[in-house]
Amino acid sequence: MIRKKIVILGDFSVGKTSLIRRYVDGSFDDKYLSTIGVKISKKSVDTDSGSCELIIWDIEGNTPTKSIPLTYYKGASGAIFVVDITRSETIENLQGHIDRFIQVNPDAHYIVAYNKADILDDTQKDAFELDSYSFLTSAKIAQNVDILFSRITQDMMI
Amino acid sequence: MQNQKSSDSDLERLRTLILGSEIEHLKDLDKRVDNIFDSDELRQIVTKSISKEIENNRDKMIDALYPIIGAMISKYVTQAIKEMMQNINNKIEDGLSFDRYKRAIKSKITGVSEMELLLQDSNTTIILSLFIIKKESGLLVAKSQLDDRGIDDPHMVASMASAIRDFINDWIKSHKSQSEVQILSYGDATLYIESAGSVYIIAFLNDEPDFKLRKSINNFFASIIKEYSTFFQTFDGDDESKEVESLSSKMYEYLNLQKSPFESKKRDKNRKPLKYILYLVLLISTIYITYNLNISYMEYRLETLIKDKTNQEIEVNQVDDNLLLKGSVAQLEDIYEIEKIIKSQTTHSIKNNLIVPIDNIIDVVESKDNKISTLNQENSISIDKLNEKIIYINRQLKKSEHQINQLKKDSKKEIEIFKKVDMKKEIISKLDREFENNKFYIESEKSLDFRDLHIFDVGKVKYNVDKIDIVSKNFEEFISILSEYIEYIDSIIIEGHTDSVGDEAKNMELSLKRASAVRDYLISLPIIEDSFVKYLIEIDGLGSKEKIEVDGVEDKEASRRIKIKLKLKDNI
Repeated sequence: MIRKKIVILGDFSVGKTSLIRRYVDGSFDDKYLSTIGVKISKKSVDTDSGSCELIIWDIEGNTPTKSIPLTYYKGASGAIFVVDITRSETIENLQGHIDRFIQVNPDAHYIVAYNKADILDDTQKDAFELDSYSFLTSAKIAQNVDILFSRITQDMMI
Repeated sequence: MQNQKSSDSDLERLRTLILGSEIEHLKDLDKRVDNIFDSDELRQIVTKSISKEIENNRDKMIDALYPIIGAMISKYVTQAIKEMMQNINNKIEDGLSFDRYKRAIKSKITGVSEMELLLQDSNTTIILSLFIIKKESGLLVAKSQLDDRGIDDPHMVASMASAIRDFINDWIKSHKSQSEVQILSYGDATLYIESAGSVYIIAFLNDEPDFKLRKSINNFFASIIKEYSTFFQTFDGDDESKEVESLSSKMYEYLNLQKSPFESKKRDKNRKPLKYILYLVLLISTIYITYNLNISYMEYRLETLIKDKTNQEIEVNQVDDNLLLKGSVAQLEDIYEIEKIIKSQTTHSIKNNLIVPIDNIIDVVESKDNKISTLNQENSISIDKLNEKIIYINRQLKKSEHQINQLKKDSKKEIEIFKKVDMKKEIISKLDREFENNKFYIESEKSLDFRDLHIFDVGKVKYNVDKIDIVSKNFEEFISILSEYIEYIDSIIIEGHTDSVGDEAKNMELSLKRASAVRDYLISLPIIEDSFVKYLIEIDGLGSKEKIEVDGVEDKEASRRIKIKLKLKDNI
């Protein structure tokens, strides 16, 4: 089986861990997030190109007291950037996260999850102009979570 | 010959004409190339090129170099001192120990590498799992685990371990240290991490690995890097490739090397007491055999030496610390010669049981020195007669000895009697000897008779005070001799005597009183008072029964006297 490393990045408290918890087959305890800033989970995904096991690195967002080592980014074949649609600063910080990741992994694929979409009504949802690499997601109602991971996996497998 | 020379010269001229300019150009190029190699220009280009290659493909370069300089790449900084101390200890141990030579020989014989044997030799710390992990991604490249001690989800564990490693290394680097984490311990589990260029190895152990085990893991890792470096660099997460398969197989073999030693070590532990007993028995047997061989060799050497020097075949046996010589020799001189030889070779005492035929002795004596013959002639005794006499005496002695032995055997009682008879003789002879010149001592009676002392006046019980000292002095002497034989003495009797004048009954009474008076005095003497002898002293009154007569006339003064008599026990 092919395995790929994927990192989940974004500001503090945007719902990264909740998204993963919704999705994965197995996971380490959350305590690792608060101790070393990363938690490993895994998920098997079937794509048109074959099966793949994602090794998901849920990387804690930077906080004023803790900076996350860039070495966590290394070797990742893909990344999911998560923002909280209810907090504009998380959207403003998105490009910074992407730039840092691309700097370390210039050939990697990435995708953006606009999370906590369950609070939006349909009109509001339509107002979001999303490209094929952006999704409105909600861990709470399991909206677009599978699609999110399938898409990034598909990209990584090509 | 001349034609040949001319032909060569023509060919050279033709070559110069056709290729002259090219040859010159080639020479010029040669010179320029030499100049380039000698100049710093090329060196700078090459150095720059290598530096750039290292900068761009650092991991590739490290992978290429790891098998050669792996130990240098390894970051031992954090444990430098510990390593150094352990290294020194191990080198001392390795350099001096028999184990090292044993391992080298075993490696040669069995074809098993010293690295593997080193792994077997390491302590009971055991590698439970081995992971090879892609350094950047933390993806598990290959793994191997002991059957019953596996990790449930190795891929997640590999990534988590990788994250932890990255976290710690990042922290270490932020503190301006160049080292990398190598040991992670949690509870009973220990992770030993050794890093190369694009991958690192994690050994999951049940305890912290010692120097030998780390060395073994590093050696194994170096051999893996050497073989799979290209594969590691291009690894893309596919664990179904043939390289992963062969790598996993190698790791499994490596892990299993320690399985049997681990189990056999446990067996060894149980076997230890028996093993030590066997060693001890073997050691004692070896010492015993060596000791006996040494003795046998010495005996053989002495026998051979004696045979060579004296032409006598004798037997030499070491008994305790003595050398026992047995056998027969021709001449008396041979014995002296043999003893001389032995003394020159050993410090053992000699017990000589060598036999020389008597005829040979006589022959020697007669032939070498006529003095004995002359002496014999002077005394009219021939050697033969002397010999006969010696034989006769020997027979008699043996006969007596036999009789004595027979007597001894008869009964203990008889032996006791024998001893006592002997003792009586001894007591008597001693008294006789000591009182030989004493005028009061009567040898036939073994008594002291003070007849000449005139100690009693007519009709008096009381002795003359000025004369009693003589009695006491002689008595003391008498007792001092007998005190050694008290157990054989029945009694010491003090007899009182009277003259024949008057009524005999009264004389009897008087004599007893005289004896009593003297006894009272004598038992107060210090020699008697503190001795058991006083209980042996008895008195007797004999009246005039033993009056003294000289030429038919009674010497009345002499009759009034004291006698001290010894009575030995009847059974002696």
